[in-house]
Amino acid sequence: MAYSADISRANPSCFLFVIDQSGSMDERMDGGKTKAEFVADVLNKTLYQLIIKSTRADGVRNYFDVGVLAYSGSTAGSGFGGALGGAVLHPLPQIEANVLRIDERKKKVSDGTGGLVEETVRFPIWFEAVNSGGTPMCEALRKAAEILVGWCDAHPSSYPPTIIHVTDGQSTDGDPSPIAESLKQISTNDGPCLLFNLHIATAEGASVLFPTNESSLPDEYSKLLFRISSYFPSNLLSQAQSKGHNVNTEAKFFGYKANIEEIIDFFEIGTVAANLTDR
Amino acid sequence: MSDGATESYCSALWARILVERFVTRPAISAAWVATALTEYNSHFNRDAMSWSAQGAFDRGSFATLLGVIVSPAGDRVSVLGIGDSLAVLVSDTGFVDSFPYNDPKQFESRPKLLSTRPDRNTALLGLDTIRALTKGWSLRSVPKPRILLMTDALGAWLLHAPDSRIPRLLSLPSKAAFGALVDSERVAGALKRDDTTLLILG
Repeated sequence: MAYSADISRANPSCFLFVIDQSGSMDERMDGGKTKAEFVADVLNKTLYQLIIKSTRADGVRNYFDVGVLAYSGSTAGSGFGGALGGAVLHPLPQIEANVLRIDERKKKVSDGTGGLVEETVRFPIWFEAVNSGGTPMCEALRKAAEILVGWCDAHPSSYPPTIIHVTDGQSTDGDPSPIAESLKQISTNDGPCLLFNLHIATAEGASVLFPTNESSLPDEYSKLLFRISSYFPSNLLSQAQSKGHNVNTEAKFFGYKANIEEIIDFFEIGTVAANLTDR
Repeated sequence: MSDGATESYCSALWARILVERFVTRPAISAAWVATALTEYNSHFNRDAMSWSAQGAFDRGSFATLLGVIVSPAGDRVSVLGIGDSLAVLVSDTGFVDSFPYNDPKQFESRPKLLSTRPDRNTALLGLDTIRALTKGWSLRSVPKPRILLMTDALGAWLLHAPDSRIPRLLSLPSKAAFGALVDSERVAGALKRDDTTLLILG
């Protein structure tokens, strides 16, 4: 059965975030942040969660290789800066060791006796919000395919890579369908890569999350993104259902005009690492 | 028996503290868990940790706790069951009862575990819920009673076919034979790949 491989230090898996940094990502969402800023926040939080989920008393375990491919203008490249900027994919311990900066935030936690105490929590930042130019989606997905062919060849027994692609607009360098379909053919022995597409918007209109068909989608562009998205793997269903989403394996891991809560859910469900078994 | 959860900061230490405390003082209450938690926290200095270790430490450690208290006369047992580790009472003819689960489907849901985060234990250790964590078994009318304690993968495997699987466990002559059984059932897809522990009492 596909997507059943255990994730462990011996057989890590891979997350590749493909992020649109085109000019239109500077539009403001509810709450005042731009789309770019909000996605950067969610991505930094996702990286933080992956790291602390993989951290034990003996250190950060390499359960995942993780990368960010950011695209704008006519190019796509690593979304990390500093020491991580040279390559796209990095083992998780390397990401933990190379933050851009650490913000300090206050958090209220239970003291176990019904009261609350304030704790300082350090929040690491790796990915900064930038945006300009066009939307070279084909170039980004082509680069993703190049990177993941090599990764899958090197990790034949691993749970296959998950690509989380976030965009707010249409491709400006052609129809991404052929390259997206090629990307979904790249596989390990446990199955093909998973391509999760998330469209975000500030415009009014109903959002669509995890649909089973195109009928509720308003235009050819949304239908294209739907078609190139992978079906929901069964190991992620219970996580989605626990968040109140009525999904089964006929649903696509796709969101259109996703709002703030849906963006957060999309990232959380997509990176739940349900097959992590290593102690 | 205590089975530490995968996504824990230090589940081995937490599980060890729980079983040692239970053997010393077989009971369960919010105060009992609080003293176990004090011991767990004494092993760490949060302020000296890196940001990632702090985040993982704050996220907590989680474990099951399955305990058996035998009456002085040996004719009655009280079973404490928190989480998805399973106790099974068998007689000379087979399955009598199990606790806290009796249906293999129950293993598909996320179990409630004892946590090093006090806020995560509140629902489990409330006055109304704490009674449901314990079950008593009278052994008087059970011919040749034995109690099997096992971690969740084995519990689910057993409850799928208790009539055929209980005799296979009871007839194991050695640890090596148990290991061979686990390996063959994993290859057959009948047993989930996970830490697998079995205790047979009696």
